[in-house]
Formats: sequence, structure tokens, C-alpha cells
Amino acid sequence: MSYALRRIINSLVLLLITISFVFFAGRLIGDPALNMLGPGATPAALEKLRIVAGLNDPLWQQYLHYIGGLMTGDFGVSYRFGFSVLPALDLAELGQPVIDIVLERLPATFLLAGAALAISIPLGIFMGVTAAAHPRTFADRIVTVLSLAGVSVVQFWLGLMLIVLFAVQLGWLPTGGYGDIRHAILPALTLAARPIGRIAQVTRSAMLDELAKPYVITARAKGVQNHRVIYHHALKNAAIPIVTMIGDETSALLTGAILVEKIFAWPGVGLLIIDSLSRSDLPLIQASIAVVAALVITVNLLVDFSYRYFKPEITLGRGR
Amino acid sequence: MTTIEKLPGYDAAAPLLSVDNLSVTFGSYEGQVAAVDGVSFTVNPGETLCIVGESGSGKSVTQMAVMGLLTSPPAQILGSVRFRGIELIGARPSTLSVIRGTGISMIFQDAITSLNPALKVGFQISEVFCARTGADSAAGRKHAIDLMERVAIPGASQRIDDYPFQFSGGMCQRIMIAMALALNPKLLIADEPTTALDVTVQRQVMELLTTLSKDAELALVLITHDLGVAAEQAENVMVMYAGRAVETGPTDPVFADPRHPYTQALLASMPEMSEVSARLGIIRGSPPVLSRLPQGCAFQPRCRHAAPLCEASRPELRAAGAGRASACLRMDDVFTRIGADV
Amino acid sequence: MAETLNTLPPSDGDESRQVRIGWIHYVRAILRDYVTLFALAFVVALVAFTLGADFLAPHEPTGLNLRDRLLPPASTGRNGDFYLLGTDELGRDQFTRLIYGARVSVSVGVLGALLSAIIGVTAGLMAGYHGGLLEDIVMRLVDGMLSLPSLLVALFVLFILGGGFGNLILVFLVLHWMVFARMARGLALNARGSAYVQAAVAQGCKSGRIIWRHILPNIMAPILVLFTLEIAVLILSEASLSFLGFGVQPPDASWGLMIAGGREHIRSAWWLVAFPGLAIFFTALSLNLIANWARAVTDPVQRWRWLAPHRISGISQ
Repeated sequence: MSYALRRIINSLVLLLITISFVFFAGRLIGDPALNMLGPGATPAALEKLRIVAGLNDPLWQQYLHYIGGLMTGDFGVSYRFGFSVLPALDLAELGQPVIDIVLERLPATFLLAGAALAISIPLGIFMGVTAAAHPRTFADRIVTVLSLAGVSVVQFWLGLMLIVLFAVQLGWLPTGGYGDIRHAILPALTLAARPIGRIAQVTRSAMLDELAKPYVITARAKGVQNHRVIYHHALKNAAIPIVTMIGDETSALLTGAILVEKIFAWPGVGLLIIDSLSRSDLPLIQASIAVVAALVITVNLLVDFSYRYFKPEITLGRGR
Repeated sequence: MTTIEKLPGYDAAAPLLSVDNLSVTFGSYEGQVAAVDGVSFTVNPGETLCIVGESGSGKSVTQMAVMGLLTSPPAQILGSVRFRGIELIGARPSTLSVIRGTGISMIFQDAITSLNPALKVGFQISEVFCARTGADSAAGRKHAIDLMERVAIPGASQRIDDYPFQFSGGMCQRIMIAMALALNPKLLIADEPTTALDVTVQRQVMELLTTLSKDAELALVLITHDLGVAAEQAENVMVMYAGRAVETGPTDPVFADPRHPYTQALLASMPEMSEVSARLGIIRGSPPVLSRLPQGCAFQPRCRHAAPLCEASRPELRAAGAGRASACLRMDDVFTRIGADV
Repeated sequence: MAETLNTLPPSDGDESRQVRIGWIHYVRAILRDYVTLFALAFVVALVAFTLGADFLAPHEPTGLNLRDRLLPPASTGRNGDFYLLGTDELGRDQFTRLIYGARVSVSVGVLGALLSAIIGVTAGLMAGYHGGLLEDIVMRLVDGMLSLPSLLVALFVLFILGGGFGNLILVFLVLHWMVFARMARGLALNARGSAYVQAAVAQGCKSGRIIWRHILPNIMAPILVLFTLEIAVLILSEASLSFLGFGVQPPDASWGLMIAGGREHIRSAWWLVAFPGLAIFFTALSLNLIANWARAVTDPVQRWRWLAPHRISGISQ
């Protein structure tokens, strides 16, 4: 079996385990019917809902039914709509499919994470490379301290401070919400602080290793100009740890968005997760965790596959 | 694109490379340490100079300084290095990058790690050619194939898109030579180019270097600790010990009749060259730690001929026959006698 | 070529001539390095305040004083009390609350990291030393769990179990042991091939003895560095989870909860949000700086750069 296929199957199994865990653990918080209808529901209404939603079936049957539904893109319906009154006979008519709700929120999160990456990847790499090219200089110190600061700051606190400064005191930018580009600036900066620091750190140390290698001296000796030696020769060899870190940070952005979206009232998946947790809207919780987990696992997979581009030995095999 | 001829200081009549009183010091745990201490030599077009010495004798650092490959600080570089009259010590990066490649090229000991593992060899060979001449990638590719054929890499046109790890050590060294020749330099510095290779491959690579230097009027500075290589290849030889040149001169007379005990000991330690001394050849003691050089002559603690006067002062190079110089204080009383024996 | 130059200063080769590195070198190095010195001082002060909160805090942590509500930093209350960092909406001294909040935040971080380290290092060492099926299972688990979005899983699990100090530590243990396991396994793999382990095997040591008495002491340095970093990571995670209401629950007060509480007053009383955040920031920054320094001085390749009295380095350009 090829490496790629094996990795993909591994990832799917991991995803299935995660989804199953969320399914079973979700049942631990109590009677789903009671959760849906709230404490004021009559026993008759609860029983009716249990029958309609199949909650009287054995758990394993419900599980198979749920997994079977996932295969066809059916993640269940949200508790949020329709169940405050007596449920109708057909769930699907009243509840909004949770997957639609999640997918509707996804672009906002992608926009935010994309903006944060667009800031942090070039800036982090530039900072790290500059520090490594001038080790133990003032610039190196500054980069080290800034990157440690980016890693040490509490994201949501940074967001709040930016709001105080730029939105409340100076009034330059909105405090939150979703709209034009001005709404995205503060959340994107907040989210970018940590990845800038992490990418700068890993770039610096990988580049320090690479710049000490003999091929760098060879490149200089044959007359390659300094910036090309650094950005073309050394950076490509330093790419694997950097790309790994970018992958990790992309995953972290997708979940870190939970807090930042809450601070800025940014209507993405993160805010949806917080809302659904506070409402105990189990199908919505399950679907959003499944989607985010799938995204994170996909990012990991892509990072893994990208190694082949940066390290030709992996694809071509050693020796001839 | 600037050519060497347009650089300030260019003088067609000046020696190809002249190194004058070059010193390189580094900071260390124990203060400043001179890795190279007042070394001078000259290389003329087409000529081969061998620099011989143990590891740590400063032969590689000397050449790194010539190429401007040491960063300063931490390295402190004093003295003068001139290529056709152009001063290289303290030269601007733009000047250095013109000299490197078109004027002087360098190849290194461990060819496999000295090639970039993530770039195709064809690209690495033609990279500077394309950058300097503005040639497009097709022309660069053709140039790379030509160069690979010139250094006798079989199947050049197929292997141009391979990566360094797909080649053997000897082939990697050939690729490095091809790379160094891409801009037709006038001088090639080879830093122990065969040390990391198998014996049979060593010979092939040395032959290749010889042929190339004959064909292309290419001057060679060959750093080696292999006196056999030096004897075969070089017109001139410079023996280094503890950062200093201890003996210089034309190869044949120097090897036939060394005027420094260290040269003598080195020759004696070579099985196939030990006519000089019938006795075995190991050099007593170990190479000196640069931060704690002995008083006076650095070789004195290991020298068979050491006398009290050797501890008094550090000997300078003095004339020792036609075109020769030696830094032995007892040169006259020790070597006239030994010279008579040979 | 470059290698020989890089290792030139510590004069390799002749053993007797090598400079021996003693504790005095570390002390001198840290005294020269003001940034790390500051970090160390901050952590020492933090530990002192955490342990001695009852003696060192200027006010009662629950001392309500509604007349002195929402006073800005460095103000004096009606009855002459001085409030260094201001007061909250109930008139409690913020500096005192920060000290008591440190107890919760720091102990969550330290306990979480300690338990993760114990479980992770044990699993990693066993896996790395014994190899085989055990290694397969452990590493598969490690890889799988590491590729999950940990904050999200933590949120979900705390949603199920409910928040609180104990559950928080449990979640941290479950989600962070892998970091230690991965490192310990790598180190154990290296150690297994090393001469000192071969020698112990040859002497007939049992594997348990080799792992705990021979390998563990030799790999302590990188594990301690990771431990320091993990404390910082966990303090940050605690703040996030508590802020969202899934971590420490009132009446316990952690720094994250203090930020959450201050958020309502952010327009009028910025200091309620600013100082707890700064406390977390400086704690995490100090731990990171110390870990950075410790990593550099315990790395045999790098350490002479830090410990040598002069600035030295090999060829870098």
C-alpha cells in the first residue's frame, strides 16, 4: 500500500474515532430529549420526541444510524429551532440541518484564519531568517524577545487590549462584528501574534542549522549573492520544520478562533461552537467538532505530503 | 554586469593572487587565538601551489580568508590579499561576488555535504552562470551539460535533473568541480578535494584537476596533507605549522632536501617517500593548541634538533637557497650537514 | 571544513587541556544575561507570593469595600488604603486578588505539567527502550492525539464533565502527556544505542534499572526544559478555558477568570483586564526565557557560545 493511501486511511480512522467519542460522550450529559425541550417539557412531549428521534432505540443502533447519516451528509438537525413547542411528527421539517449551519459559518472562520496566516507566515519567516543571518546581534535579540512575547501572550487578552486601544480609546476601528475589512483587522492581528512568534522561532533555529552547513559556504564561494544564499539555498532546506510549524499553527488558528471570534463577535464556527455548547445543542456540537477535526486532520495530512517537495530523498528513494 | 577588469585596482600585470602578511585571529575561551599568523605567498597564472600541513595548521582558514568567506567579527583579518591587484580584504560584498566564480573558485573536502541537498545538480552548476551572464534556463542547462561532460560525468544530459544524494562521493566532487568552473575562473582553490574519497577515486579526481589546469590555464591552490599529491602536482609548495608558513619553495628541491625539521618529519612519515630518513616516521607529540603555543618556535617541543635558542624567539622565514625560504633558527647548522648526507 | 572551525575554540582532541565547565560558569553566564536574570527573578518572586500569599498580600482577598469600587491603579481609598493596581467592582484590592489568583493559575500549570510529565515520560521511555508492539501502540496513540485540535477537545470534555480545578488538571493530563512521551521516546531510542547503556546491559542490569537509573538521569535536561515550557502552555490554556467558563469555577479566582470578570467593565476600568493579562504574559514569557536559556547552556554543541567569557563563534557567513 502506498504511503499516501496509508496516511489517508489513518486520518479517516482518527476522524471516525473522534466523531464516535463525541457521540458517546455527548450522551453522558443526560437525556437528549430533555436537553432539547428544556426542563418545562411535559412527559408526553418528551416521549413523543423520543419516538420521533429514535431515542428509545438501543444506543448502538442510534450510533449506526448516526454514522450512516454522516455518510450521506446528514449530521442531524439542530435543537435550536422548533422544539420549544410540541414537536411535529417529522423532525427534518422543523429543525435546520446542523451541517448547513456549520458550513454557513465556515467562510467567516476561513477568512479570519487566512488573514492571520497571510500576516504571520511572511512576517514570521522574515523575522526568523533575519535573526539567523545576523546571530547574536541586536536584531537577533529583538526577534527572540518579540517571538517569545507572541508565544507568551494570552490571545483573547491581546484582543481585549486592542479593542480598548484602537476601538474604545482611539475609535479607529469597530469593536467587533462582521462587515468590511475594518472589522477583520483587529481579530486577524490578535490571531496572528502567536503564529508569528512560533514561525519566527522555528525559522530562526532551522536557518541557524542550515547556514552552518558546508553547502552554504560552497554557494558563497561560487559567487551566489547573499540574499539568494539565504532565501534560496538555505531556506528550502530549512523548510520542513517551518512547514510543520505552519501546519500546527493553522490547526491552532482554527481552534484559537473560538476565543477570538467570541471577543470580537465574529460569526464563525468558533462562535458557533461556544453558542452550541452553552445551549447544549448536541447535534450542532457534534457537527462542528467533526468539521473542525476534519479540517485539522486534513491540514496535518497536507503538511505531511508537502515534505516530499522539500526533501527529494523521500520521493526518489536513496541511491541509484 | 561588472567584470573583473572594471573593478578598481585591477592591474593586468600584477600577480594572479598575492597574499601578503595575512593573519586571522578568533576569540576563544582563552583570549585571542591566531589561526593564521603572517602568511604570504604568490600564485601566477597556470601555476600550482600546494599548501601542506596537519589539521589545525591554518591552511584551510588561509584560503577561507582569501575567498572572503570568514565573517568578521568574530574573525579578525589583517594583511592583504590581492587578485590581479584588487584588494579583497575588506572588499565590498559586490566586489567579492564578482571575484568569486569569475576570478577565484573553491572546492571543498566533503563534496556530498557541500552540495545543496534540495536543489538539482544542473541548477547548482549553472546557477551563477545564469545570474551573471543573464542566460536563460535553456542556455544554462546546455552550459551545465557541457560542464558535466567536461568533468567526465557519464550520461550528463540525463543526470542533470538528479539531486546530489543520487550521486557517489567521487561524482559529487566532479559536480563541485564543474560548478566551480562554470564562469571560467583563473584560479581554483581545492581544499583537500580527495580526502573524503576512496583511493582509486582520489586518483581519478586528481587527474581530472591536473588535466583541467593544463587545458584551461587554470592556476591551482591545492590544500592537502598528502605529500604524495603535492609532489606530483605542484610547482611550488608551502608547508604550514601552527598558523605559520615554515618552509616554502619549488616542490622538487624542497622535498629532496627539506630545510625545516617539520618538513623533514612530514616526509619521513610518508612510507613511499622516506628516502630522507631510514628511520620510521612518526612525529613525536601532538599538534599544538593554538591558544597555548610554546615559547619561541612552535615546533620546538616536537623537534629532534631543538636547542635552547629555539625557545628564545619565534623564527621568521629566511632565504634558504634559490626561491626557497625556511623558518628554522638552526637551519644553517642542522641542514647543511643533513643536506650533505642526501 | 566548517565543522572544524566551529569546534575550534573548545580545543578538541586533547582531553586534559579542555576547559571544564562548572556551576560557576552557569552562574556567571546568567549574571551577564540580564533578560534571563529578570525572568528568573520574576519566577522566584511569583513562587514567593504564591506560597506566602497570606503574609505578603496587602489586603484581604475577599475584603469587600463598596465605597472604594473601581479605583484606578495607585489610588488611595476613602479610609486611606493604598491600592497599587486599583480595585474591582466590589472594591477588592486587585493586587491581592492577583496574588491569590496566581495560586490557582500556577498550581494548575505546575500540577498539570507534572502529571503529564510523569505519565508521558514513563510511557515514552518504556516505548523507546523496549520497542516492539508497546512502542507501536504508544506512538500511534501519541500521533493520533497530537493531531487533534486540543483546545476544542478540552472544551468538549469540560463541557461533559463540568469545569473545576480537578477536571481541568485531568483534561490537561489527557491532552498533554503525548508531548513528553514523544520526546522521551526519542531520547530513549538514542540512549539505547549509547555506550553507557550497552555497558549497563553488559553488567547484567535489569531493564527497569537501566531505564530509571541510567537513562532517565541522562535525559533529564531536555525534559526539564520541556516541563518549563509546558507550564507556560498550560497557564495560557487555563486562562482561555476559564475565560470561556469551562475552567476554574468561582469562587476560586484564576487570572483567566479575573479577565473574564473585568471584561464587563472594560470601557471604564481597563486595569481589571490589563493586569491579570500582564501577569499571565510575564509568567509565560519568563518561563519561556528560562527554558530557552536552559536549552542553550545544556546543549553540548551550543553551550560554549553562552558560557565563554568572550563573544565567539565560527563561520556563519
